[in-house]
Amino acid sequence: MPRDISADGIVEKNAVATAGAWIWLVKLEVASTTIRICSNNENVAWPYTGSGTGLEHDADFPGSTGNTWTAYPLELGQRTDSSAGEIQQFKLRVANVAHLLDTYLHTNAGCIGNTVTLYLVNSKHLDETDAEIEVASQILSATTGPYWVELTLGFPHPLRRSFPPDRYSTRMCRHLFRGINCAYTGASVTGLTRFGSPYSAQTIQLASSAAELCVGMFINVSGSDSNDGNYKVASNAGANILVVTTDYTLTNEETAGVTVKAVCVKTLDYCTNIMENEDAFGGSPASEAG
Amino acid sequence: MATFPSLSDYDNMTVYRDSATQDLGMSVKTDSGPDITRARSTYMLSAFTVEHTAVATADKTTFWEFWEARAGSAESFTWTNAVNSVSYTVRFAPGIPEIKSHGSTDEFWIIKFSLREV
Repeated sequence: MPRDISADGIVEKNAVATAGAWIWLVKLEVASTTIRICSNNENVAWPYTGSGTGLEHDADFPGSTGNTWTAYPLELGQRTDSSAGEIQQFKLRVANVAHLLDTYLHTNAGCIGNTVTLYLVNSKHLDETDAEIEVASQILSATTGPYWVELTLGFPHPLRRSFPPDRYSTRMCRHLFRGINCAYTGASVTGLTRFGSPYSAQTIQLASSAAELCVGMFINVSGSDSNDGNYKVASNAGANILVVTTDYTLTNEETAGVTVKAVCVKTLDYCTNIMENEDAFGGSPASEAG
Repeated sequence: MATFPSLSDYDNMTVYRDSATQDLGMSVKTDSGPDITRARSTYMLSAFTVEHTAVATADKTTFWEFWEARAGSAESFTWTNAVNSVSYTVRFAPGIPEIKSHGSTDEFWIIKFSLREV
């Protein structure tokens, strides 16, 4: 981040009349995608290395290095200061007429916590490698409408962070099943699966054997025509035949692409005796309940 | 991207007007001294007004269908300015193109429309 405005930037800032335009470049980092847009009416290359100016309608665009920032309607709100100890927030509105950003927002929990970096550059000096102003912030909230996506940018208030970071329970595991702390990796079978006939109405013929799907384990079936749901294993013949408890009646079906996988119920007993994963149990059985 | 259809103007008196969609300059007044002026953005988007003075009925229909297919001012297309043979990406300006008969017959038509570069 530059500490000072460049010499060229100072000249542009102090000029009484100039054709140089101050352009905001906005870098949105959403999941694994980086979106680069700018508050101009033609695309911009920055930092620019080439024989032109770095502007789309001029020669040698986009040059040999740098990124292309797409001209896109956006509005940057006012950033206000106060003496009340508040952490600064400001709004960034991005056009949403084509609903291009909706998918990113919907599939990434509103993009909360994602990084947005703003760069202020002058159109006459796109060859400068440092922006005149650079502001990195996080998305605190997001709303979408038919015309605009409105992002509130800033940083999370430290006093609003949960402490301690986890909730400790005597009986229940706090870890995400199959997550990094749980580390359970077994028992998931995908492929051609037969339910019911020619066996009983409680039988699932798996695509391959899975000894981990043991008696007493809860399993989840997905991708079938009629039998999606959760079941409890009554027996595992050791090959690829599972029998669920008589609480369930399966519909006769043979379907490709069905996934049968273990389900966790989060208790110590289940983790120890069924999943055999007690070393990673996320509960705190030694702590006092309440 | 769609391309604007060729329209034959029988009296060869098509009028083209070039303009811009906006003045890029913006200014701040000062109590003493000159106004401080800056550019709002970097590219002067063009605007055009075209008036065909004698278009045959078939070409009028072609034009109207093209305008409808672009959903009026919604979709952009390629248009070549016959004055300098430069191609632009444009859309129709908001509003309805002006179409009226040339004289009292339905043989020829006057078509006037505006374009905005995008």
